[in-house]
Amino acid sequence: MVKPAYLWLLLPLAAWSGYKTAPPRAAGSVPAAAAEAPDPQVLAMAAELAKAQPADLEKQLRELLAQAESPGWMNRLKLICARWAETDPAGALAWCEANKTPTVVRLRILTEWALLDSDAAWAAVTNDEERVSITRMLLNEDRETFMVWFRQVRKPLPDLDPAWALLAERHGKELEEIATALLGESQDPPGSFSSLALYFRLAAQARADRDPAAAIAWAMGLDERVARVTVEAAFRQWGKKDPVAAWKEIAKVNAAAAPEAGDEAPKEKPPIRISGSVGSEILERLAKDDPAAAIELLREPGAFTRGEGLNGISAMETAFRDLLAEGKVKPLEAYEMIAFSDPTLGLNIFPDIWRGLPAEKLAEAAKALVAQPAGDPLSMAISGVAGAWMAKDPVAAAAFIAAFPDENLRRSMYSGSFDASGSDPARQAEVLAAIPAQDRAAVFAIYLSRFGELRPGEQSPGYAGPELKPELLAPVFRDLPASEYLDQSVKITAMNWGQQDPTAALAWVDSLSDPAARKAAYGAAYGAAFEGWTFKNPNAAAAWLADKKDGPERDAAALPVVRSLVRTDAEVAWEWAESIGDTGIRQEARLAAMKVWALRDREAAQAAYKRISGKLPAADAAKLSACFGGS
Amino acid sequence: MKYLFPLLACLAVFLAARQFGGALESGIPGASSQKDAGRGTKGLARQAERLAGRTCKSPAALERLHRSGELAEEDLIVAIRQAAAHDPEGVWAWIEAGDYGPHGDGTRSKYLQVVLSKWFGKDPEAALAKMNLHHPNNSYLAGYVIGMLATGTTEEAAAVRDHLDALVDMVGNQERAILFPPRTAEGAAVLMALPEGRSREILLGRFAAAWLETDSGSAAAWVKQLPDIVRNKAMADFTGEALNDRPWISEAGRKFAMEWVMNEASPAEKIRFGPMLAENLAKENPAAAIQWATANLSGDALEDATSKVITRLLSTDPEAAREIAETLSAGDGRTAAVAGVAGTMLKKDPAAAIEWWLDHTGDHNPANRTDARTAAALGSKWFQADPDSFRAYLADPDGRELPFTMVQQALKKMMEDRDGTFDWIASLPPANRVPVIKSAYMVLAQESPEKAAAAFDSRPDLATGDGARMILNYWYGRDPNKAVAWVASLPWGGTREAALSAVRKIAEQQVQKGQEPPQQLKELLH
Repeated sequence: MVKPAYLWLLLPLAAWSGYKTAPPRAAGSVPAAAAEAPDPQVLAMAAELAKAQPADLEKQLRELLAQAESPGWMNRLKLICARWAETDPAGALAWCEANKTPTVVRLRILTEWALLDSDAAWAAVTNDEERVSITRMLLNEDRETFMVWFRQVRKPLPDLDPAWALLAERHGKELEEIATALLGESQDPPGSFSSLALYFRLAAQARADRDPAAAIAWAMGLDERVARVTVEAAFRQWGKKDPVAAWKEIAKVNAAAAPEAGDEAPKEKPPIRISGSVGSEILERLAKDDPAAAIELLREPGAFTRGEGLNGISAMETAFRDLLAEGKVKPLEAYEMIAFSDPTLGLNIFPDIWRGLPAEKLAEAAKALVAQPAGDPLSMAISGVAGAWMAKDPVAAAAFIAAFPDENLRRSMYSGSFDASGSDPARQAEVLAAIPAQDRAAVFAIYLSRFGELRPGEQSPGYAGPELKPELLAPVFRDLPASEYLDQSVKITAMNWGQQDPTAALAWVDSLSDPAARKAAYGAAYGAAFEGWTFKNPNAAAAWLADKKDGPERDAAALPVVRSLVRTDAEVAWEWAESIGDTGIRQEARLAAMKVWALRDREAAQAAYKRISGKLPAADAAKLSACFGGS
Repeated sequence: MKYLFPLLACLAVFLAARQFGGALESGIPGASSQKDAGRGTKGLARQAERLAGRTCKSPAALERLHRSGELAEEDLIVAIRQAAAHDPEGVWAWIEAGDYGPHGDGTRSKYLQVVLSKWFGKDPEAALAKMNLHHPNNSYLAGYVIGMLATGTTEEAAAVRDHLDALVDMVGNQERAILFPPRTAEGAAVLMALPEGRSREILLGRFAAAWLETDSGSAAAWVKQLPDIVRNKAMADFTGEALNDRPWISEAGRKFAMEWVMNEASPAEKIRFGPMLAENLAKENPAAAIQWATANLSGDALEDATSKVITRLLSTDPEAAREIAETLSAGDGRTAAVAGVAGTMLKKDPAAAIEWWLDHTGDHNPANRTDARTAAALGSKWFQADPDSFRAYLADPDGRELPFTMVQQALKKMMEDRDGTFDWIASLPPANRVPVIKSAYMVLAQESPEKAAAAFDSRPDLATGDGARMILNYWYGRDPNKAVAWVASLPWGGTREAALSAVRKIAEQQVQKGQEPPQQLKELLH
C-alpha cells in the first residue's frame, strides 16, 4: 500500500496534465466554436491519394487543371502537391516545367517540399522572388519552417494576417533584430517613411499588449523613418484594451508636440504627433460601448486639431448609426448626446446617423425631436431624420412633414429629404418637385446656401455643393408663389443655365410668371452668360442685348453688361449705363463705370459727369463726384 | 481521510492548471486550438488533417480558424463563404468588427460581398438593412449585388429586381461599382427586362455607355431604340470618352459619337463636347471643323475649338493652319489661333513670326487678360528660341512696338544678368528704351523694390519716370515709408516729378478708400 505522503508527489503531474489539456479560448465576444466534424470530402480525397504514385498524380493534376476553379479545387490541388512532394518533388517540378503549369502548382509543391526537407527545397529554388513567395506561404503552414526561410530572404513585409502576430509572440525579438539590420542597410533618406516600419508595427503591437507605456517609449526612440508608424501602432493596440487611457496619452503626446511660439529652430528629431485617424479609431471603439464617454473625450481639448476632430466626428457617426440601428441608444438619447456646439469643432450634429432606423422608429424619432427646443441643432437633426424617413416611407413622412405647423422645422425636414437624394441631379429635381409649392423654393435656396455662394464663372471657388442640372430644376420652379426664396432659387438656376446654354436659359426666364423672379433671373443669366463673353468680346454681347426691347428685364440685364464692359472700355460702359431706364439700376451702373473711368481718363469722365450732374438728385451726384476724389 | 486530502489537492491543481494553461498558450484568442493541427504528421497526412479541420459553420469557427494563422487569403474567403451559408448575419458582424488596417475598406468590402453571395437571394431585406448601414463603400456592395441579375440564381435575380431602387440609390454616383451583365445583346436583354422606372433608366444608360465603349458596332443599333432620356445620358457619357482619343474605342465608335454631337445633342451638350468634336473633325477636314465650330459655338467653347483645330493642324500642315487663322473673325478664337501659328513660325524665323503675329492678332488690348497672357507666352517662347533675334528686334529703330507683357516676359530671363542687360538697354535707340526700362524695373521690383531702387539710383542714364513709377507701385504697398523716403531722396528733375506724381495718385486712391496716407508723404507733397 502506498503511503499517503507519497500522493503529494502526484501534484506536479496533475498540474502538467491540467495545463496540457487546457481548453482553447474563444475570441472576444464571439462564442466558442463547437468542434466541427472533419470535412469528409477532404478525408476522402486524401485517402484516394494516399498511395498515388507520380504517374497517377500527373493524371490527376492534369484533370484538375482542366477544370474550372471551385471551392474544392484548391483543396485538391494542395493534397496532390503534398503527396507528390513526399514521393518525388524534383520529378514533380520537372513535370510542371515541361507542362507549363500555372505558377501556383510549382509554388505549392515547393512549399510542401520545404515542410518536409527545407534545405533541399531551398536548393531547388533559383530566384529570390520565388523564395519570397514560398516564404509567405510557409507563414500559414508552419511558422518554424517559415523562420528558417525568412532569416535568409528577410522578406516579405508583414501584413494584417494574424499569423504575423503569432510569429511576433514567439520570435518578436528576432524579428526586431532583422528589421533593425534591414533599416541600417536601407537607402530610405532621413525623414522619409520606410516600409520596414511594418516590422516595427508588429513588434509594437506585441509590446503594447504587455506594457503599452513602455511600448510607446520604445517606439518614440526608434529611427524617425519608422517611429511614427510604430508609435501609432502601439497606441492603436492600447486603444483596443483601454481606449480612455490611450486617448488621454495621445492628448499629452500631441500637446507636447505642438510647436511653441517663437520656437522656430529646427529640432534634431522632430516630435511625433499622433494622427487623427488613431484617435478616431479609438473613439469609435469606445463609442460602441459607451457613447457618452466617447463624446466627452471628443470634446476634451488637446488631442485633436480641428481637422482631426472632424475625422473623429465621422468615426462617431458610424458608431452612433450602429448603436441606433441596434436599439442600444434611443433617438432622443442620441440627440441629447450629440447636440452640442463646440468652439473648436463647431456644431456637431450627425445627419447620417438615423439611416439605419426602420420607418416606424424614424416616425417616433421625428415626433420626439420636434418637441425639443428650437435651434440649429434641432433643425439639423430633424433634417437628418426626415431624410432617412422619406427614403423608407415617403408617404408617411411627407404627410407628417406637410402637416407640421412650424415653417422653419418643416423646411428643415424637407431639406433633409433633398439632401438624401444625393448627388444625382435627376433625383434632386424629382424630390424637389414632390415638395409642396409653398416650401419648395425655400428648401432649395436654404439647402444650397449651406455650400457657399454660387457665382458666375466656370468655377465658383466659394461653392462646394452638388452639381446642378438647371434644365431639370427649371420646371420645378414654374408658377410658385412669389417670395425672396423663389427669387434666389430662380437666380441660381438661371446662373447655372446661363453659363451652359444662354439662349435656353433666357427663354426660360422670359416664361416665368413672377416679375420679381424674372428680374432676378435676368441679371443672373445675363451675368453668367456674359461673364466670359463680354470680357473678351463686349461689343458682340452688347449688340446682342441692344435688340432687346426697353423695359425692366433689359435694365436688369444691362447692369452686368456695364460691369463687364467697364473693364475694357469705360466710356462705352458709361453710354450703356445711360441707356438704362430704371433710375436705381442706372445709378448703380453709372457708379460702376465712373469709378473706373475716372482713374483711366479723368478729364473725359469729368466732362461726362458734368453733362448729367445738373439733372441728378444731390445724393446721386455726390456719389458720382466722389469717384474723382471729392473734386 | 489521509488519502483524500492529497488527492483533492491534485484535483484542484489539475483544474487550476487547465485554466492557466489556456491563458498561457497564446495571447491571441483561439490561436491555441489550431496550433497543433497537422503537427506530428507530414506530407499528405499533415495537409489532409489541416484541410479537413477547416469545416466552418459559424462565426466562432471562423474566428478560431482565422486566429490560427493558418488561413491564407484565399482560404479565408472559402471559410467566410462556408460560415455565411449558415449564419450570414453573424459573419457580417464578424467582418465588420475586423481590423483591416487604415486602408482596409476594400478588403472588408470584398469579404462582405462573399457573405452577400450567400445571403441576398435568401433574405434580401435583412441583407439590405446591413448594407445600408455599412460605411464606406456600400456602393460597391450594391454594385456587386446588382451583378446577380446576370450571374445569380433565379432567386437572387428576382431579389435584385424586387429591391432595385434601393440598390441603385445605394450605388449613387459610383456607377463604376456596378457589375453589369456581359456587354452583349443577351446582357442588354437582362436589363431591358427590369421593371420600368428611374433605376432601370440609370442602369440602361450606364450599360449602354459601357457597351458602346467596347463594341460600338453592336451597341449602336440597340442604343438608338432606347428612350430619349436614356440614350442622351448614355451618349453623353460615351462621347466624353470617345472623343478623347481613348485607344480602346474603335473608329466607328468615335464617328458614332461625333454624329450624335452634330445631329442630336442638346445646345448645352454641343457646348460641352463641341471643342472635342472640332478637334476630331479636323483630323480629316480642318476647314469643316472650323465651319462647324463657328456655326454652333460661341465664347469660350469656340475659342477652345478653334485653338484645338489649329493646334492639330500645326503639326501636320502649318501653312493651312496659318491660312485658316488669317480667315478667322476677330475674337478669342482668332487670338489663340494666331498665337499658336506664330509660336510655330517662331522656330524658323522669329522676326517674321512676330511681324505676322502683330499683323493678325488684331488690336492688342493690354487690359484684356487673354491678350496679355498670349503676348507674354509668345515673348517667353521667342526669347527661349532665339534671344539674339529678340534683342535685335528691340534694337531696330524701325521695329514695331511690342506689347508690354511680351517684353516683360523676356526681360525676366534677361535680368538674370542685370548689369549686362542694363548696358544693353543703354545701347538701344532712345525711342525703343521706354518699354524695356519699364519692364526691367518691374522685374527687379517684383523681387525686391529696395534692390530695384538701388539699381535705379546706380544708373542715372536709365532713370526714367516710368521706371520710378514701376518701383513705387510695388514698394508703396509693402513699405510706404521707405518708398516715400526714396522719392524724397531722388534728385530734382523730371524723374522725381514722375515719382511724386505716382505717389500722389496712390495717396488719392487711399483717401478715396477712407485710408490715411503716411505723414511723411503728406509732408513731401506739400
